[in-house]
Amino acid sequence: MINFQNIMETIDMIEKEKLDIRTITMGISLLDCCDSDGAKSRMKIYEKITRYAKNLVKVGCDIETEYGIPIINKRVSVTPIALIAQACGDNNYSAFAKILDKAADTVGINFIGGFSALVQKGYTKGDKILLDSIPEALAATKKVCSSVNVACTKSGINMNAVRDMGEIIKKTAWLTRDNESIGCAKLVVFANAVEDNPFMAGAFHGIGEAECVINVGISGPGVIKAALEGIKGESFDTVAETIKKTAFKITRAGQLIANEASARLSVPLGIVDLSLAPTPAVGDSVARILEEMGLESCGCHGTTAALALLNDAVKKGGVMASCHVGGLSGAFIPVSEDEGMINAVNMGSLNLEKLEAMTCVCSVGLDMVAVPGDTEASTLSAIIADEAAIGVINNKTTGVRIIPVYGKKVGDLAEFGGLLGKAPIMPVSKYSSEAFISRGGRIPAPIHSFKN
Amino acid sequence: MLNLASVFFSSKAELCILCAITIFIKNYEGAKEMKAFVTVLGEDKVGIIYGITSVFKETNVNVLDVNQTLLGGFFTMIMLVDLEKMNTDFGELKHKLEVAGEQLDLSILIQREDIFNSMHKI
Repeated sequence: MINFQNIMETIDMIEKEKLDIRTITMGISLLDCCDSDGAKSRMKIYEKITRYAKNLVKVGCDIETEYGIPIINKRVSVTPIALIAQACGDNNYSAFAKILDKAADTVGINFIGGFSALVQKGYTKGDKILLDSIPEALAATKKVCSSVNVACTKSGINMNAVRDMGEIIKKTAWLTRDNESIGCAKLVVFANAVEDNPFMAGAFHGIGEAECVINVGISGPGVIKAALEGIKGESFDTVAETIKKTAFKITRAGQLIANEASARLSVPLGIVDLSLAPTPAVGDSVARILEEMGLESCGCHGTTAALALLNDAVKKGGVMASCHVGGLSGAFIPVSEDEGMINAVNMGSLNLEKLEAMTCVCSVGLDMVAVPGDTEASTLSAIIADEAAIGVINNKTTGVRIIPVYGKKVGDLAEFGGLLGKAPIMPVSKYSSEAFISRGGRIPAPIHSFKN
Repeated sequence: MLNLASVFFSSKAELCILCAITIFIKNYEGAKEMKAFVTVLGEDKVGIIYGITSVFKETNVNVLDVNQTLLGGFFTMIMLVDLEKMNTDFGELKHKLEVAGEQLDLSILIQREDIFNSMHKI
C-alpha cells in the first residue's frame, strides 16, 4: 500500500491547497468545414463540434468523480475562424461566432476559443473581416473567445493590426458597456501565439495540429505556496528545488488526467500545459507565492526576479513529468483573477509598469488588466505594441487582455464575476502615443530571428 | 498526523468532526483490476468501520488492506479496496460512502489509486 504520508499530502493538496486540473480542452480542426456558402459552412461547423465534443463534459465529470480532483473547465478550441470563414462571401463573421456559441451550449462546455486570426505579417481579406466582426461577435455571444496574433519573432510586429486592435478593444468595451465591458475579457492580442494553448481566452487549434486532440492545463498555485511555507528563510537554491519537486507532482497528476481523457474519448493526447493559473479564491494566488518568497507585497522591487525563478522552476519540474509539454507553460499573472494581485493593486504596490516588467519573465503577458473607460484607442495599441516587442525580442509568447471599462475611472472596481474575478482600475500614462501608432506598417523581425 | 489533521480541520471549521475517506481504484488499461483506497478522518466513535464496511458489503467491494491511527481523539484510517467485483458504478459507490459519512459526521472522498501513484512514484 502506498505510503500514508503521500496519501495525506495529495489529499491536502486537493482539499486545502486547491489543486485542480484547470481545463481539459479539445482541439478540433475545422479545415474541412469551409464552404462558399456561409450558412452551409456554419452548419458543418456546428455538426462537427457537437459530434466530436459530444462526450467531453461527461468524460471530464467521470474522471473528476473517480480521481477526486476537480476539473474546473471543459472547453473546445477550433481552427482560427478567419481561415474557415473566408471561403464564403460573407462580409461579417458574427454569425460564425453565434454558431460556435450554440455548439458550446449544446455540448455543455464553459468556453469555446478560436474566433481568431493570425495576422502577424499582414491581413488577408478574411482576416480583416474577422477583426471587424470581433466587437459584435463578443457582444452577441457568451462563451466565444477571440484572439488575434499580431506579431511573431520570425516576422516582426504588424503595426497596422496593433493600431486596429486598439480600436476593436474600445468598440468591444462600448458594446458590452452594460456588463463592465466584459467582452474585452474574452479577447487576447498575442505575439508568438502558440497553437496548442488549452487556456482561454487565447486558445485556438493551430493549422499544424491534428484533426482532434486533447490538451490539458493544470494549475496549483496554492500547492506551491504551501510547499514554500515549509522552508521559510532558506536560500533560493532550496526554493527552486522545492518548486521543481512540487511542480513535478502537480504535473504528474495532470499527465494522468490527460491520458485518461485521451483514452476515454479516443482522441490523441496533444500536450499538458504546466501553468500555474490562479483564481480569485483565497489560497489560489500566484502573487502570494511571490510574497511567500519574502516580498512584502507583490509588485515591490524583487518581484520580477521572484517571478523569473518561479516560472523557470515550474517548467523544469513539470517538463520531466509529462510526455508532451506545450501551451503557455509557466506562471500566469492575470490581475483580476488573482486575489493577491488584486490586493497588491489596491495597496498601490503593483502598477502597470511593474506588470509589464513581469511579463518579460512570466508565461504570458498583461492579463485581465482593467484601465479607465476613457483610455484612448492609441494608448491601448501602444500597450499592445510594448508587449508585442517584449515577446518578439525575447522569443516568447506575450499577450494583452486589457479591459477599458466603460464609465469607470482610476480607483473604481470592475466586477466580472466567476473565475474572471474583479479588477481595480489601473492608471495608464497620460501622455499620447497617437502619432506613434498612426504610422502603421511593420516593425521588422529582430536580427536574431534569422537562424537558417 | 496531528498536524495534517489540524490543517485539514481548519479548512472546514464549520464541521466539528471531519472525516476523509479516500478510495483509490486501480484500473490497468483494459483490464479488470480495480483497486481503491479509502481514508477516514474524524473524531473517534463507535461504529465507524461498521458504517463504512457495510457499504462495501452492500456493493460487493473487498477490503485488501487497512491502516489506522488515533491521535488526540482524531481517527484516521486508510483502506485499500478491490472494486473488481463491485456491483455498482463508481459514482454510486461514492455517493453511498458520502451518505454513510454524513450519518457518522464524516466527510468522504473517493479517488482512484493512479493519482497517488502518479504523484508519488516514478
